[in-house]
Amino acid sequence: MSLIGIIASQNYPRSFTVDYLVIAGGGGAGFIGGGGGAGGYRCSVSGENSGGGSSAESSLTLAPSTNYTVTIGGGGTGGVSGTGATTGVDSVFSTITSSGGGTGGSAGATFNGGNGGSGGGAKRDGGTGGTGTANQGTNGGTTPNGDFRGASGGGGASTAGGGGTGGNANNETGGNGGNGIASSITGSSVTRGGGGGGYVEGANATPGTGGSGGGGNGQKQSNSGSAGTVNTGGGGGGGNPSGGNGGSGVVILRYPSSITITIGAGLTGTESAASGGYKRATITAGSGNVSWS
Amino acid sequence: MAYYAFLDENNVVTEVIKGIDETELIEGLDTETWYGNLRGQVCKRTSYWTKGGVHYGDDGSPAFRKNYAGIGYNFDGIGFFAPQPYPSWNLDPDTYYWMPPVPMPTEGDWYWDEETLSWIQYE
Repeated sequence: MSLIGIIASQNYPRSFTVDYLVIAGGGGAGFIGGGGGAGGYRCSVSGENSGGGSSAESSLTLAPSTNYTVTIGGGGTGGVSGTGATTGVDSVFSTITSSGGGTGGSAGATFNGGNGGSGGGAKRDGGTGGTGTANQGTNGGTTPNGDFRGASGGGGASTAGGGGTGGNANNETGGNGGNGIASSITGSSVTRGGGGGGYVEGANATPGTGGSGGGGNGQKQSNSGSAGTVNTGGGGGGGNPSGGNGGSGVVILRYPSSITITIGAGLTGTESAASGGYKRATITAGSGNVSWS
Repeated sequence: MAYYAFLDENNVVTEVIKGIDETELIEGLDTETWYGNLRGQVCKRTSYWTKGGVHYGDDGSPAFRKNYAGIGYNFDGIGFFAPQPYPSWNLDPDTYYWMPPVPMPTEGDWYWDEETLSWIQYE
């Protein structure tokens, strides 16, 4: 190898390791219905967790001066009368795709929660929660059959959605959304990926609260559900006349401080200053390419 | 920030992303054109806070294209709307919601029976 080649190989490694946190958009909540499931949660930071109680995944080994795709999925649409909610949208980094959160079940439309990264909660007065994707999320809550049973919560990245309960208008409770997962990939701990809370009907009843990490709160009577928090993948909260929309996803990357990311056209993101031997890039919007040099 | 829906050849939404604000240009192109070129699909901006032809956000923006788009929604050049749930239901021109021939009762739990064109209560 020539002297120039030796210098080049020392300054520009042929490969490097990137840790990632990829969260999809949260699911929309149901009309008089269940909370939306959190967007799929995939993480490679050692010592942390991916969704559904799974261990962190393997880091990616990437090459410099090579384009890698990033897409930030939007949240799903909350359901309205006669129309069910829609699933959250996948987020992507390179070969890693996190699945959009499942829909909350809606009265008069799709009664059961939908499958997704985390499953959506069942509608009020009976229904089955949706199933979460393995290693990405948990299941939505199930509502027992009968009048005055609150709608169930959507699954969170860490814990499943709660089931609605009750028996009369006063003691009806909506299921709480499942909780999200805390990650310190940015250097400080932030919880993301909460499920949405379920709706209830009675004036003195208690709707479900959104799970930690951006899940939207369920509502009661004639109040639309709360939206999941932007860039957390939180599921929407159940409501009337509309379920809440899911929150959008996010992609966060951690890599050696010796290299610098280029966030390409069509993307919105920032790179932090080096700390602890790493730089971090948080990408909050768009679709396009990133590369390193 | 803004949201964008990608359409297939039948104007059905296949994907919704959170993207760059619509007031910005990307490599000299408006955002819909740039994202559309990236995917090789028609791309249309959609408003996260618009539902039923009304804007619910606190930013003072007007309603835009009737409804926030979801996967499977249709776009007719004016607004986004969900798939038609039953043949007898009609699209309301203001809200772009599907309306049944008979309103759903407000008390109890009901489902629509297309054969009898009526609501049936769950037991």
